[in-house]
Amino acid sequence: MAAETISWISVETVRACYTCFKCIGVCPAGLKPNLFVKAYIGSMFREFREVYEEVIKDSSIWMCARCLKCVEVCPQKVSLNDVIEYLQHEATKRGLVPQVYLTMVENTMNSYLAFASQTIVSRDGDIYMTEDVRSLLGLDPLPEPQNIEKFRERLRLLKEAG
Amino acid sequence: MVRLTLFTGCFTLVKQVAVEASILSVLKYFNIELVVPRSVNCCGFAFRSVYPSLSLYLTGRLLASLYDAESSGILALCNGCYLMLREAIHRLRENPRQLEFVRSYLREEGLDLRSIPRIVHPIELFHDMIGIEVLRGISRGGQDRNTVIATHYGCHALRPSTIPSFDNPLNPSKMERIIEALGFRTRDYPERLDCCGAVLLASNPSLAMKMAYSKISGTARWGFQLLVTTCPYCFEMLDSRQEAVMQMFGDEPKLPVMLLTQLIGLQIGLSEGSVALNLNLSPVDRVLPYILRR
Repeated sequence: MAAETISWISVETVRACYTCFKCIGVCPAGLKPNLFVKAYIGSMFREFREVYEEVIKDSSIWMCARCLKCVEVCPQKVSLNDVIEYLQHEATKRGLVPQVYLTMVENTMNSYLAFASQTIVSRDGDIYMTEDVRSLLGLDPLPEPQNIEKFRERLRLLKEAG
Repeated sequence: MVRLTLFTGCFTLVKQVAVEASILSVLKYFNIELVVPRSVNCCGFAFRSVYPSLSLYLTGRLLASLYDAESSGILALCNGCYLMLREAIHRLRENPRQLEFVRSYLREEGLDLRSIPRIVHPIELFHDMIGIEVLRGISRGGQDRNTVIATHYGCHALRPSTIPSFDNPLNPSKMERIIEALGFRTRDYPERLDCCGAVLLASNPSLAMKMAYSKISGTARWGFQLLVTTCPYCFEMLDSRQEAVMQMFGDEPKLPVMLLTQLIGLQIGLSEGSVALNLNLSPVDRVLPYILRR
């Protein structure tokens, strides 16, 4: 189902990369996006298969800050962000996904929001919980998780869809 | 009167509440009617590659549930949400199969995507909808006109250029025009379009802090008295975590950081409390004598 609904970047687009290394020059996380291009190709073809196998187990695919500078400088218009997201998805299918993302999905299933309420500190050193500081500032309380059962069920099905 | 539907995003709701408090206070002054919906959900940004279908449904659900025929658009306060909403519109328009997929889930809860709302960024709101002339009019003097302010748009307000935004993705200027209209100076600097690192907070916090350090220390060395942003995540990295970031590299907090809506609020004479300035953790006290109207 996932393959039918989400369209990833095409292999023709990715193969347009001629390794000019401009993306390496702008990456603030010090990644080597050209390696991700090889891994993408290796996910579909025997060529670079070992690069693919290594890269999706490597934590570097989760070190992208998603600043999208590489996308802007690419002379061949290869969206490296799309390549990296594809590899992150491949890693997820093998269970190689940082727990923190799964926790955010769980939070969303339980409260519609990715984050639970937390402590907020003021410049004077006062410590509040989210609810208290919202109330002090006259803001609406956090949304109530009404009718969440059906929403949760839909998210469960969508998780399976990929 | 312009009417907009407010979408704060999760992080503003639970952590960066000053983003919400300051825009609510400021927009009352400008006669903008904000509709604050009670039924919202996460936009799916953080886990978009992990569960892409789920993430697209979440964004589609927002487009459907926040749609209001009387409203001029959805005001998205967070850059991540702003990108997700615009990107989802782009994808659903281009790809009928994805659109039908999302609609099939939405129909189960009585929602649909019949009309596509306009997605508005806070900078766009001040520059294009409220307008530079109106902002110039509120700047009645008293502040130090030699104060030089650095702008920080944040990556997802501008990039990728394949999805149209409110400004030039490689050389934006609208926030600069707002700063100048308020009576302050601004100038370009090498780190202007650099990333705050926030996306990495989840998977690699130390690299996130390193990127924030590069941005903060790089900006500070050009002599700016203040850095201004609108995004709650950028604000988290550049303001809330500034002390921790600087300490990690043996340095100290040195760059006052404010939200654009806090700066505008102070210019129209709002109190520090009504723009939640007590929640800024960077050394903003240093710059207050230069920007407060006397």
